[in-house]
Amino acid sequence: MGFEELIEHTSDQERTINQLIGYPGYFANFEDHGDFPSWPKLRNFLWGNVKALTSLETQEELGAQTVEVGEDDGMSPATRPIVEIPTILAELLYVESSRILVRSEYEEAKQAALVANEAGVAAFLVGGQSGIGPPLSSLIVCGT
Amino acid sequence: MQRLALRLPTALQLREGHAILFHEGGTSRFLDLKDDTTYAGLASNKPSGRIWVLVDSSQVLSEPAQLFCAGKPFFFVGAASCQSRFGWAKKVTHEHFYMKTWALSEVLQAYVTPLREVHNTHSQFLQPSVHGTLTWRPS
Repeated sequence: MGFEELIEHTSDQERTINQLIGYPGYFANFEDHGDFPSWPKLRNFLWGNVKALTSLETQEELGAQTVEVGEDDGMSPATRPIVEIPTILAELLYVESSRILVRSEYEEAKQAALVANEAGVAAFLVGGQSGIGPPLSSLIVCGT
Repeated sequence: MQRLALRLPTALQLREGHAILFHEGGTSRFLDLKDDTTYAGLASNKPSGRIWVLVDSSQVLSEPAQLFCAGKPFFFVGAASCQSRFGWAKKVTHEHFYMKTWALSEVLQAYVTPLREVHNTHSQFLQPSVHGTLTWRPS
């Protein structure tokens, strides 16, 4: 299951959004006041730009670098994907790095969110890790 | 981010009384975050047609807008490190995903990966903006 299944509804969503945009009291154009991130710039960079999120790199070689922890003791480095995001995206998101280690938990959270959405619940809550915001974003980066 | 790349309309609540919507036409701000009937026109017949609302609970946003807590036409996806920030959700149908702590192997991978190039998810994300007030940063 992926976001692709949701795409079939976007035309209907955009149609209803456009109807409300035209009436006062619903939406206003977002004005950038210099805060970070710059949401309009982020939106304009990402919207329809699938290539911006495809620089996923499996760091198997890097993960296999020698760390003196013994052999076959379950203490070897993981080989989780490292997401490379464009520098401009890191700047727009105001994160300190353009690389994020994608934990399996992030992918599981994404799948669970998709299932919860399909089940029709009102809310999906993710907890358990401090500083969870950027990883939640990263799971969206790597998801397919 | 993938949602935007796939042109999926997505809402984001930044702080109290402030939420935005990314959509085909650009970036718009919600003008009414209290009345959950205001945006009823966005409702879809299927759950898959709901608009996802991403909320990062933090010191500057302890509870999401009432508008986003009622289900249709929105699907609330919230992240918080402190479980007490999810207290409001007891009033609505919800699913809860609790992340496991970092495995040793993941810590080791982060260790052998150049540190300055891997995002530090435990750093302090709130800092004064150029205007001298706390501004949103991922947390």
